[in-house]
Amino acid sequence: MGRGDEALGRIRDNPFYVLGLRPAATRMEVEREGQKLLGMLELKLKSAGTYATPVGPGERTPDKVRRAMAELRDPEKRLGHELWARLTPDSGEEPERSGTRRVTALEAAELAEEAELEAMAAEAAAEARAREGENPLAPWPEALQALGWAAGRSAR
Amino acid sequence: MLLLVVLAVLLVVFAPWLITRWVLIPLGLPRFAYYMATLADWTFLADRRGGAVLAGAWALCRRPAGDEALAGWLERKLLGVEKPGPEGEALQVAWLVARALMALRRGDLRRLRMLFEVQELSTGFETLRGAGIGAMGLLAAYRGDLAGARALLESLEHVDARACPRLAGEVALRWLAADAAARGAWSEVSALCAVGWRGGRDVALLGAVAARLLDAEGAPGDVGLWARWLLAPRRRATLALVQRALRPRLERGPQVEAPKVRGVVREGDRWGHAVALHAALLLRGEGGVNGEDLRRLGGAWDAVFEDEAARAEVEERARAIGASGAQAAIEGLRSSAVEDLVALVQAARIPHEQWDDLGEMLRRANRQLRSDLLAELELTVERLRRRVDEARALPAIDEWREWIALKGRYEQAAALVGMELRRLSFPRMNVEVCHLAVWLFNVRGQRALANAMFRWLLAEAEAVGDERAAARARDNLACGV
Amino acid sequence: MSGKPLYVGIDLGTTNSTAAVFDGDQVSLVRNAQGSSLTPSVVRIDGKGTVSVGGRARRFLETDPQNTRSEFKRLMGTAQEIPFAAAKLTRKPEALAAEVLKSLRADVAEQFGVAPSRAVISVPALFEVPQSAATSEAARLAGFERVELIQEPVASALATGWSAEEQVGSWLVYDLGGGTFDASLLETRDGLLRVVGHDGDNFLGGRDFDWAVVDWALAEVGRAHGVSLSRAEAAHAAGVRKLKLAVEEAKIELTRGREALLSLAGVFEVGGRSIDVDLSLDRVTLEALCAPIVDRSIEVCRRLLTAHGLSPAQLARVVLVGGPTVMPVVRARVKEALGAPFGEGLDPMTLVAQGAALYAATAGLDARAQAESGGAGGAGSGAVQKLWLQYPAMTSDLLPHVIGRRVDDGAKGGRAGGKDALAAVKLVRGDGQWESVEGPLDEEGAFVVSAELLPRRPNVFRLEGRSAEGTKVEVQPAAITIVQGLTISDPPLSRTIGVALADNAVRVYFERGAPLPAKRTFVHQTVESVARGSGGHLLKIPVVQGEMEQAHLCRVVGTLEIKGDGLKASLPAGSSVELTLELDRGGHLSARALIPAQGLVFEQVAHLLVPDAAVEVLTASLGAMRTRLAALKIDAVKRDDPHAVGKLTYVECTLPEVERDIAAAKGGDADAGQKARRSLLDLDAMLEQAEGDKRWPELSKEAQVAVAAASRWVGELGSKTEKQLLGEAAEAVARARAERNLLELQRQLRLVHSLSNAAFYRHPDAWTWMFDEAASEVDQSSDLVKAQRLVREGRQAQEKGDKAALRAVTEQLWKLMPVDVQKRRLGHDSGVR
Repeated sequence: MGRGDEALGRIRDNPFYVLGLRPAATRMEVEREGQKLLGMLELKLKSAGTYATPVGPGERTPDKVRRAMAELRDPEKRLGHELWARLTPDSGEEPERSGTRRVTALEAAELAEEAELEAMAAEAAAEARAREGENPLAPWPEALQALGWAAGRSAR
Repeated sequence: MLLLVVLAVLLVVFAPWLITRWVLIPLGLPRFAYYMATLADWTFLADRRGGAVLAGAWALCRRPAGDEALAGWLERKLLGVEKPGPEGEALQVAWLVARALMALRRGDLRRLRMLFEVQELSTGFETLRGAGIGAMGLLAAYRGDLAGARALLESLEHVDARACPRLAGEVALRWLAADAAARGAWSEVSALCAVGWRGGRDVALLGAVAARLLDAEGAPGDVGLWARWLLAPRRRATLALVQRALRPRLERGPQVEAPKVRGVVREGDRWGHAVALHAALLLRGEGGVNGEDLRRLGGAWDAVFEDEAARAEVEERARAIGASGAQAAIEGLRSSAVEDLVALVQAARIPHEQWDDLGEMLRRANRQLRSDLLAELELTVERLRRRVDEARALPAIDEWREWIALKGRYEQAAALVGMELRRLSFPRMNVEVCHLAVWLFNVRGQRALANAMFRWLLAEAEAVGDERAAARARDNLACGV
Repeated sequence: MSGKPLYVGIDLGTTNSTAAVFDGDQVSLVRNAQGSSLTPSVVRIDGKGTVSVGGRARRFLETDPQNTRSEFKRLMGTAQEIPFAAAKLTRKPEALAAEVLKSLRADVAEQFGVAPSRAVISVPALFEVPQSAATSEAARLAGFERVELIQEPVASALATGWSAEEQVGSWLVYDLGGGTFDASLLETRDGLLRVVGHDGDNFLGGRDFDWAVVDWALAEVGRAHGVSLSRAEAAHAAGVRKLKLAVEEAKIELTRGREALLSLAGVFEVGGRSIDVDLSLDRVTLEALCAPIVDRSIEVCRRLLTAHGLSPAQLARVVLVGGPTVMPVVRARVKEALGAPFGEGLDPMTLVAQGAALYAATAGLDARAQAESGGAGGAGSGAVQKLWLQYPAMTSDLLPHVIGRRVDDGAKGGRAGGKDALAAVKLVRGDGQWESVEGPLDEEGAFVVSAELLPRRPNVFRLEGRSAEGTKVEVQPAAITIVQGLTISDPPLSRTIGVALADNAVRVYFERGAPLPAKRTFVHQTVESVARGSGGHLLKIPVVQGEMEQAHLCRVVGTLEIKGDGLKASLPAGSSVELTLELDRGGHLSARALIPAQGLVFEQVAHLLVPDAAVEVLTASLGAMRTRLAALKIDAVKRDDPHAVGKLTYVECTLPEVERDIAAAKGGDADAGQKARRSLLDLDAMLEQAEGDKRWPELSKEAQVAVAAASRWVGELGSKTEKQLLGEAAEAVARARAERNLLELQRQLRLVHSLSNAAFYRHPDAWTWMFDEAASEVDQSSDLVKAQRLVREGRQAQEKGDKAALRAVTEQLWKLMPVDVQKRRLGHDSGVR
């Protein structure tokens, strides 16, 4: 399980996503954006606290931003990250900060002929949970209590 | 009045287990249950102390969680970590003498010898047998460690019947079935309830419900289900479940959908396509991936890595940003992707046959998985060897836990990679586990545990065709429990 | 604005220390009371306990060495306490370093009127965590509230780049210090400085020149007087020290002159005879003595360039740093070898301090404590809106962002939504030529504006606020300064930090070059059970530093321990442990292990120290290394492997040097002891590799033989399945050999052995053969009498044809054999009673 999370982390913590940039960003843009995000995080601005990725939002920390900047400064490493960041995060429902909107809007114009890969965000997790009651194979969480293997309430 | 008292005394003397089971356990009185069960010689013939603690732990489960004092008390009763005071020691000696006299009267010299050997040699730990393991399982569950409890209770299956009271197996089965239902693992429930253990009425009900939910062959009809419900205890609590199982199949909703990739990729972008597919599989995680998905992903990656144009694109990008070339980045990507595939296979436990393919990517993943698993097993076995060599004894229950964890890891690895892995790792596993078991048997008096290990070694030796190991295991098994 | 900012950088050197100050515009050096920018790193504590530092202390170095100490930097991070005889006290190395820092701090206060509370201190690039932590501790002891560390080569490059006209290309910083050599490859692009790679030699420095000359002088004098003089002898220690000082002076003389005299009267006494030193050292001799040492440094540079795919011709510049680089022999040889132009007009002695000061600006470490608190704020006017600002104090970006947030005091009116509340902010550059677009405040009270900087100078901006209705709102701070210039944004980690794993691999947490501070978490699985409550049971998580793939070749810089008595329940093997490592810019490493199953956290990191270098241990490991080396070499020669021989010869050539260091350590030089310890560790790594190279052909051969033997036995006595299995295994062996996969080959070999054995024992005469073999080795047994009795019994059983008895006897015989004989008994015959 730990390794699965790590694998997702590779995509989620991709420096480009952390910085809210696309692989085409210049070196100076990387520095500027990083510097700005570090400042925003220092000021504890909520808008800087999360970022969008194709595998769900990530939590942005100064540490991650610094590491992202360092990774992108090294051309060899940057090339690898560019490959992993091929997916443009679809941030339709994510509240966007004014700063990155400029970049993504620019990108959006460029990528006009983009095709959608899979029906995105069709099944929100909440919706799925609502239907869970109908799923015959859903767990029976109270089984242990019901069958006398645990008392109902905890004495904590 | 007098008659009632006499009846009660008679009941206590002649049917202590009935009182324990139907009065003390439902009332949630662990100490009483423990003491009463110590009198229930017959029920727990194979493991008296363990049985008594099992009764206590069972009663404890009926109490609100968090009473660590009681749980600890029971644990000490079982494992004897507690150092007895002077009077306690005197009591112990008296007890020992009494048991020795009894053995003598029965003319059971072997037992007599064992009594003293064990008392003398066991390093302050009491011997652990089936019911004791079951008791530890229930205690773990009571403390909230469900995974630990599951492992311990499942392990009872491997303990010899001579060392494991039937009742302990029954308790384990009932708990495991309830736990599987709580996790929604209905096929597990169905498999458990089909096992030839003597289950309770609630087990019969759960098995029937699971069969219905899974549309299994031979599932009981509506009447059969109702009948089982009527027979089972706690009808009110299980009513909703039975109703769920009775619902017509058409009404049943679809499977829960996994979260989707929320990203877009440019058309014709091969790298992007493979990454997207990769991300989608990762997102689906443990439950939702099957061998076919893996084949598709492997194919997508292979297509990119073999594509000259895709490589040229990266080369060009490398020149643009001042990197030395595309090779390192592409290789890095490939090995990360392989690593992810391996993690996926392990998490989703997809057996090797289901995703075996000739593609380069999957071949790499397979090789990596195989060597990871082998190395991990070797490492664990090596540590075990060192511990046994240095005679660093763990408490019996921890020895057992370590063993079932090792066995579990071996079996899981074997399921993923297949017979080849078993043949490769069995020889070492055999040697080191055998050492451990011999140590447990000869020196530490943990005969039940050692016996279970020999039994497993025998089965595995036969499966991989190692006759010498099998012969030795047979010899060792013959030494009894 | 309250005057210019003050950024302080300190080069805490082995022999000399320097402080420099940057005010956003100019870098200037701090002069000490003697008017020099170099303060010797020497501390003296006299009988009364009075501490003196620098030049005043240095004067006593020759005459009163027991109370005057230098070169303590090399002991930073060790537990070594340095004694002062007259005052009868000992001091830790960091306490002595603190004295030097205190003195420099006082000099800054004297010259600039502010005692700095923050500073940047330089450390050698290859400093490990304990050494960095000790440096931070020294700064704390000296009264600094906050310090950051920067690696010396990065500092030098920063200082060079700051003054360079064109800032593009690859540079090599050649830093030859008193005791260490560092080579760093840097690259500048778009005004950003990046460390591409490091290499270095922890045991190569200017001191080695001195010692080379001292050894030469001792040999010359000894020959002239027909005696043997050695650094190792404690009796000569004082004389050697005097000789070394004379050598140092002569060396400086020779940077100008052709010849220098070494004359010391009666410095040595051998057998009651007083011996004078009277030698003349000329430049040619000096160069001949130094050349091998310089060449070693050049070799390091070449290695570094090759590792990054560069040739010397591609270097834009070579920057020389460190005192010894003023020596003509060094300059000439480096120039010849690397060819690139030297950075001109740079002072190699103070470059590091200047760079540190520049970095202080980048890091925003204004030495004036709480510089922002002054100004006109607070006094009466309620209309002033306080802002919390974030902007780079120094940047290479021409268009950096300035981010701010309204600070609500709570009590004040005019909060968000009020009429005269701050609604937008803009920047106006000091020269009046530019002003920014207005940055409106968002719902969090924050704004972002982009500033336009003039290159390579400090830029002052005025902040102008207005309300929603357009009225002016006073803001505080009212102005900010941003310097444009070459920067490096984060000091990179110089050596990889990771956790040693049970299979001797390393899980890397922070890679070399990772930005600091850094924090990382990984999940590990335990491989051994830890029983609750038993103090003896213990799970160790060693934190190591170094780039080697095998953990035992990296240095342990700390160990996290999970003890049984701290557990709630026993921890079975295979349990998850979530480990978090955190490293700050001051080199402080903290580790935290979480056991999720029990909700327990362990945080005690044991011994964060460079290990001690006891002479006995060093001598013993040197001896062991010699034995190992000899065996390997014989083998390599036998195998006719020139590559291996070459490698081993290198190790062989280095050993005398290690021996000399150990000898010096015996004479009381703790620093030499540390050096020897590190050398031994490095040499160990080389031998390890050599052994690996050797193991492969051996195992490969063994596999071949084993497969042949197995084919014979299994072919003759094996079942059908066994034959098939052996066929598969043989294929796998061939594959593993082709792939040179050691681990896999070992695995398959085990399988082959077990198949072979199974078949072999089926042979009717198997036990007879085994018995005969055991009987032939009976003289090796641990209990000869018993063994001989067993042999007799075995012979009888043989005659009677009693196979079971023969087997029992053979097994008992095996038990009496030494371990390597016993190994032949594959598998384990337990026989439970």
